[in-house]
Amino acid sequence: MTDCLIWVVDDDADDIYLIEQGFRECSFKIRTFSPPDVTELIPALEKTYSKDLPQVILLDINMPKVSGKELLGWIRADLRFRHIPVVMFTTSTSRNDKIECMQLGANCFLTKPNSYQSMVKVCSSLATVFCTPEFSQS
Amino acid sequence: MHYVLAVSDDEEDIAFLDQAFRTQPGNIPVTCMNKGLKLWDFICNLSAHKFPFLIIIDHYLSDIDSLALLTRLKADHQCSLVPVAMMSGFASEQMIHEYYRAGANCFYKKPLDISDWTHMADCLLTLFHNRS
Repeated sequence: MTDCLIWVVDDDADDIYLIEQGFRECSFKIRTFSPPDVTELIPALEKTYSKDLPQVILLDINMPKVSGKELLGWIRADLRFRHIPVVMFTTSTSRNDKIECMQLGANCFLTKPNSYQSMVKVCSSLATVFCTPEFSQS
Repeated sequence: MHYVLAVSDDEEDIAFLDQAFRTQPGNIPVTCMNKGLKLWDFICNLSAHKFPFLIIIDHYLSDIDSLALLTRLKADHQCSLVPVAMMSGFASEQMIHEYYRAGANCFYKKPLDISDWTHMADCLLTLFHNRS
């Protein structure tokens, strides 16, 4: 079975660590990658273009240099990357944030869980729904 | 509204879907259609506050291309924010990309038995019904 590549775009190293740990507990074989500089997301995607694109991108919203909404807009405006599912993974519980992100083309809007158990459940659900590697190779 | 709207012309899939969601906490009801155009008519006659929280579309429909149905739903200003999950027993990578470009919220492999259907329903509710 081919492994599933998930990009985690977040400026908080602790959150990235927790999310990666959550995916490690899944039954799927998952690789995670976090661009060291979130402003370099598009160049990083361009660098991997057609070789090893992620099967889903998790995007934080509130980041200091560039917001997740801006990054989402850039991804959806680029024909090369428009097909990549983007899940907003944020501390925000704002209904307006959710509506705005869904209008911008997010596939899903999730508030970061406040327990590790819930984080594992969310990561497992993301992997089950978005990572079907043997399927996508057909 | 607290229900899922699904379309498939496979009676077994419909039965699995119905059981998978009804056995979740909250006994989520599933309104099932066996034709894509029936689903479209159903949506067209709904007032906004009666929309489902999730729509599930089978890849193979006998009366309308599922990609065309998805495109219609996402172009409808009242329905565009309702998450749409596409499901199929088979699809090419290119087809999956087309669904995502057309606005599908997710695309998943059709489960094989009731245990897998129930797990998939649980995962969909976690992602699209804020349950974790």
